Amino acid sequence: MASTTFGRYSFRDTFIHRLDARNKIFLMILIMVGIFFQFHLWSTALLLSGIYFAALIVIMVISKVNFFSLFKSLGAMWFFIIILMVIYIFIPNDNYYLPVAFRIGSLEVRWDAFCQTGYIILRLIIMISLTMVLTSTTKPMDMTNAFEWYMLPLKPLHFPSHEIAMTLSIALRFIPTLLDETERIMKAQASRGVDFNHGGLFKRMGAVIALIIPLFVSALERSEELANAMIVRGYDPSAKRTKYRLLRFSWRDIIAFLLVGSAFALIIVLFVYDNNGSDLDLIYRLFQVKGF
Amino acid sequence: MGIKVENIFYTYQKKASNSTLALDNVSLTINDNDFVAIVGETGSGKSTLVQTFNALLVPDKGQVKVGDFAVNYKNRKSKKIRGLRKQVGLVFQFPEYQLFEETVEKDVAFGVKNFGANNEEALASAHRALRRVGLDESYYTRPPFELSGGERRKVAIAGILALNPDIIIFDEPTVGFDYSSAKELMNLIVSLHQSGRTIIVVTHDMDLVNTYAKKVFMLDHGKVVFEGEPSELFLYARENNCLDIPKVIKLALALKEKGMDIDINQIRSIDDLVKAINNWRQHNG
Repeated sequence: MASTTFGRYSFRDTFIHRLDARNKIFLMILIMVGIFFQFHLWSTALLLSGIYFAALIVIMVISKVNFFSLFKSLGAMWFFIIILMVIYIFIPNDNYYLPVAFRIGSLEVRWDAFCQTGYIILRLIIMISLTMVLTSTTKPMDMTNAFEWYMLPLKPLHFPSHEIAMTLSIALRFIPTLLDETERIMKAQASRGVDFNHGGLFKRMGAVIALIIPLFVSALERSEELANAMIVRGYDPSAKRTKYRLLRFSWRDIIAFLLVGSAFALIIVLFVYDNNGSDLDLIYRLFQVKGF
Repeated sequence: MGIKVENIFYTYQKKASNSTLALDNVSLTINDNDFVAIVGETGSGKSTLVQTFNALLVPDKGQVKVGDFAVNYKNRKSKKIRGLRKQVGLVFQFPEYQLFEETVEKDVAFGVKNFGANNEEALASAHRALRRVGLDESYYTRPPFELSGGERRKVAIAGILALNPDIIIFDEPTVGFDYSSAKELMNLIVSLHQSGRTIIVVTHDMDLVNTYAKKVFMLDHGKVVFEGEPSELFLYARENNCLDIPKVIKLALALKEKGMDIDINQIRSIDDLVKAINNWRQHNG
């Protein structure tokens, strides 16, 4: 657990590290919206996913985010992939148009089910990776300042934007501490014979309870101590604040905005011209050529 | 049961750029029924070392022999590791944070059940362990979270004692305790030692080392830099200007330098020093 580097801020001086946190959050949301457009034709959908993936790799290379930590953290997704596969195989969908891959009794399993699973997984991986790039390249304080900035319009409505931003920054700050705490509790429970890696469902659930409850107790105690420590040092949530580090847009932000904005516009154009019939789908044609 | 550590190495975050070599070619032997202290500065590798004794951490190189079982990279997935954890109990620093069951007795019985005992056997072991740490029947059905910090620590220690291990490791057992609670806990540890168990204590408390330990290992940057009796450790610490030498030893050493013939090996407490001074006065008029 201590070796988990997934999403932890790592200090580097790259183009992406230097982008304004507000811009990064906005662009990430824009990319995610783009990723979530559901394309009708598999060839378009999978081709776009491939392009997204290539772009993601470029972003990771530029921002010097560790690839390996990403793949390590995706290890647990296998279970999710299997569940998705089962769902798409057993739930019939009228929009499927590819040939039948195999039959289970009277149930016809079409190639679409596999395309759909792959499509969803790819999009999920890209989304997780983008979040990782965001948190690895943005200082937690900049991130919370950016969130606070986005919530500013709600301030006249007495929305507790500063309190929410402060809570977020503390939560982010305590992620590594909680990971260390998790590791410590896991070791302590392993000394009492708990096996976190083997055994049936109930045994594993019991093991998780032996981890979760002490973790919550310790996190709650820690939060109470922290709140008291803030109060004794005169913290007043309603006080007017100035900022030591100001967020500033620069030429880098304009470049990044133009790049992502153009890509997003292209995706919208593709989406508008997407539903023009399965005859246009390259994957469909490929199956026809192969004689399925 | 003893422990033989043979040339072990352990690195945290092996593949990361910020990897840390925590154990650097450590070798040592702990005999059956020893009372051993492991000392050293924060980050010297003490806790890492003891975690290899029950295979919570597996050395990258070398091995730790506990009885017949060898903890090494080859055996890292062996099924015998669970059995080893029953034989080598490890009480972590602030063990009270591992409690989670609804009642004290259930929490103490939790580990026993994990190792295959049925409910009745587990509860009987739990009750024995709770009595041993000084918690009577009135505590059995109370929620552990309602107890005081000291009582919670006793419950956590009972959770390890209930497993009836041959070797018990305490990582900073008295940290955060007041004098009387610390003394009470150390009396319990001494009684466990007297009942034939091997005791290993990781500590920064040199008074504790001086009073209770029979043998000391000192670690520095992952290496064993000293091995011997507590009195020898304090001479080593004075020469190398490290560790906080107990006041009673500092006084004994000062008196010795002034010409008083005092055997430092015999000074474990103020009473021992008073006795030594009286002896010296008798012999020297």
